[in-house]
Amino acid sequence: MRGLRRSFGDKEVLRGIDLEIDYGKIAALLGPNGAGKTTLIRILTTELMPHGGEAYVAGYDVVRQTGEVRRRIAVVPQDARPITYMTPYEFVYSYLLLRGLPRIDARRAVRDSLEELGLWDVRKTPIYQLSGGMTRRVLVASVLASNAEVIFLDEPTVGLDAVSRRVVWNSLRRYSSSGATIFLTTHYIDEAELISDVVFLIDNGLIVARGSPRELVESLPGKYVVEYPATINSDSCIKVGDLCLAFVESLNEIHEGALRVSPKSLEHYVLITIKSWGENYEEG
Amino acid sequence: MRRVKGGLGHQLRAILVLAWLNGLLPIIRSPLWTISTLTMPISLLVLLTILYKNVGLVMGIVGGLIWSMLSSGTALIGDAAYYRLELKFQQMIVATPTNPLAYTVGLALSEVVFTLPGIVLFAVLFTVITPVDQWEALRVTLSLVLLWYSVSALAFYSSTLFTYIRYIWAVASLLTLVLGILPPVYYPAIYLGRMWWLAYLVPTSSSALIIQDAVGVVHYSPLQVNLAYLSEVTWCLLGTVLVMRVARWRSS
Repeated sequence: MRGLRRSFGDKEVLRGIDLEIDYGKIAALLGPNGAGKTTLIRILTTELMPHGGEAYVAGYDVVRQTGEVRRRIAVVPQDARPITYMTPYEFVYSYLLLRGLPRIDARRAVRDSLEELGLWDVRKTPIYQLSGGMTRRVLVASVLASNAEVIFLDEPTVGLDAVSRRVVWNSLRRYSSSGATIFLTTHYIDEAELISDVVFLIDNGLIVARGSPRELVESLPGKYVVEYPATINSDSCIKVGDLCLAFVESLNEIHEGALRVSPKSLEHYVLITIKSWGENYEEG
Repeated sequence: MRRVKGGLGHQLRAILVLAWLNGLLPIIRSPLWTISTLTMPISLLVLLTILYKNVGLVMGIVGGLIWSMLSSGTALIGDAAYYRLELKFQQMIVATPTNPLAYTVGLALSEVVFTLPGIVLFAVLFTVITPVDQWEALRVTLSLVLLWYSVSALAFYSSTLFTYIRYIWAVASLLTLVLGILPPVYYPAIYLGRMWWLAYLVPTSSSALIIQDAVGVVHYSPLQVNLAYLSEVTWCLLGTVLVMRVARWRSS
């Protein structure tokens, strides 16, 4: 996509997004609330019209070739929930039929997907009787069963426990290894670091950084990050909210008043790169 | 990656899938729904029969048939808004080959499943109390199908205007009043005097005018009846345009 723009009223939520994702990759979009993540997903899944720029999904224009795009994508929107009086089997199966899969293929795909996401044993249980984590997994199972070329997941693991998150991560990895592209947004930086091939940081409607998690972490100076209170009077640390982060080569460089010391990570990269933490409250 | 199709065959199948998941499944799991949709038209039928004897009975049956179709539409507003705003199910379906018209007709068909007991009840009463020939029965059926389609399309369009689910509840009640009670559905359009043409302004009273004429409870001129058909077709076309071009399937 090039120069993608979108406004809501006077507020310009996307201010010229440029990014490209290769086939078979998992890309994570990280950013604070209101940065434009959901708006970008809605445009790429043909649900929202852009106000400028151009975007292609699986090689097709999201404005002029919506039919072609829609045949090749599947999405789990932010805050989506399955229809709760249905069972997991019924929900995934009917979603696949609405996606245009033949019934025989749909039945096979439902079974594979439910088994992979640990839902086969509860396939006949009404969704309203399942836990929040299982309910969320039903949605993920739906899109992973779809066999779509590009999958969009807007915060797919919100509310999942540690085990459920790993089940989803493994499924996403397996799915992308078949050649599909997965584009997900998340607030869990560890999730982006663990499963994505490429990370994009979005802030105030612009992509402010991109690269593999390793590249981004390597671009930070030093080996360790020392967290001091923001009140500390030092030019060698970077203020982020109530903290001041100092990047050091050795543990000998830790000064008095340090709150925490940890090896540098993607979280630190994100913390110092994003400038608008806590500023936005509207839809993004 | 498997290619999926999005042609007419797929759209027809999508309609049936939606009718199944939003109509048949919940009815099977909670049959009480079907009875709840019957309460108001039966109440009006009883009231009219007590007050106006045979004429009231016939008007109550005609009104009951139309009310059943209307309640399909008002229920659709709630379901469509719920799927869009609360579950984000519509957003999932937008990103599939299923188009907005198939989605609307599918939901509309599912709402008919809910009101089917009412339709059957009033259809049986209709057949027993007001026997009509095949031609008239065809006119009545056509009028009801046009009404169902137009009300459903308008309902789906209306559902996309809202940004908060609780506003829908008030609108559904208001629509019932504006489309079911105020216009000449349970009374003849001629009661409006020189303003009888107001019946054409909403699809419910246009349909009522046709059915009242077909069963002979009120006699309208052929021009008045043909204009009622024209009104119904116009509402259908308007509803289709609103669903395909204006409704918030893809937000502009």
